[in-house]
Amino acid sequence: MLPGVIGLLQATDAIKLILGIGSTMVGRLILYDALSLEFRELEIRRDPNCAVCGTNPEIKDFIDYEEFVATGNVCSLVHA
Amino acid sequence: MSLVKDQLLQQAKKEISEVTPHEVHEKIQEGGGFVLLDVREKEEFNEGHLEDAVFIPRGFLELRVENAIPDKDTPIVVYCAGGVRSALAAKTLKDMGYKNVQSMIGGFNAWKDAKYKVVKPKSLTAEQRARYNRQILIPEVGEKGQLKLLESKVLLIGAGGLGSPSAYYLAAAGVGTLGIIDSDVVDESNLQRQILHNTEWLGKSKAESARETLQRLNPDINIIPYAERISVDNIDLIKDYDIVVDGSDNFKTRYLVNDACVFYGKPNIYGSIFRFEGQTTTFLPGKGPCYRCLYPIPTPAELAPT
Repeated sequence: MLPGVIGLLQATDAIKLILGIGSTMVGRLILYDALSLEFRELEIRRDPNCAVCGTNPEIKDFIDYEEFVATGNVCSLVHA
Repeated sequence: MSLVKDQLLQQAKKEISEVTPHEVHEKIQEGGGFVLLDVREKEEFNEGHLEDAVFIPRGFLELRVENAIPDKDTPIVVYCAGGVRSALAAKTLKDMGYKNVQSMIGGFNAWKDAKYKVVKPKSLTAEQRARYNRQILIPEVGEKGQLKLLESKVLLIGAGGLGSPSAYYLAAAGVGTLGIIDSDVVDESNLQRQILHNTEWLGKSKAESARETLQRLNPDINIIPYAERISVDNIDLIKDYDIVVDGSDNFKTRYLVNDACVFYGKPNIYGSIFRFEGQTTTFLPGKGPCYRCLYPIPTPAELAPT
């Protein structure tokens, strides 16, 4: 039920991007509460300090994601 | 004094400038800077034409050219099938005040003989027109939109709770290539929400299960299953796709997919759910935030069940 609503919002945006029509979810975080049937929307913007897409990105190549998720630390990939 | 056909042509050729297909090809390689004008009939144009050519059949030239090419200083190269209609058309354009017009000697036939690039406008088959009819009727879609969908390539990360509904509708709509990456196998507890799968596929690959379900729904499109875990070793498969739809269920994948989409410039349509709450947005590199802008550090594992 809930995955259906969210999954379909994702699919609809994909179609709109391909066709170049309507307003997509870019810059908009859509929040949905199925219990109260409430949709909310937050404006979201690029963070200039973002580690990967900011003005001076710290992450320019793939990192060790397991390490990152476990510790929050950005470590470069260590190949075995 | 009335002129016969050959005299008309000779007179036209005296007043206009001509150019060879080779010269036109060179100019295109050097960056263009001119308009290609195809003055043949519609059936000829539909069989194949030069890329980006403006199409005005010879019979409508005087009536339509000023709308199509309003600036009379625009350099124009006119072509037809063999170089005759284009010479006459070039003379007409000159008489209308177009200052920089050339006619291509030998026309489209000479261009093809030289094996230069030719494009053909695509059109839907009768079956496609029938299948996608309800969508084609929507003004914002139309046949043109349906062709765009058929040419597009979308990669779904995960064929689970979120991937199932989005894959279903993208396949139904005629997205031409759908990639689905999921290393998991179908479990009974999945069937409560992962509607792409069914009891016949218990214990088997979700990616393959998805392919069977979707191909039955729409044999017209191409479904590419990847029964593997997405990782740094295979992430560059994202480059083969236009859009990524992230329905994954773990942070490692989310951050990896996000970073890849930023590096490769791919739109990343994100969705996540927890109990009765869901969130979704589209991360478009260069236009808005990425996943890390929202969530620079991952939630601790205890608070985020997959």
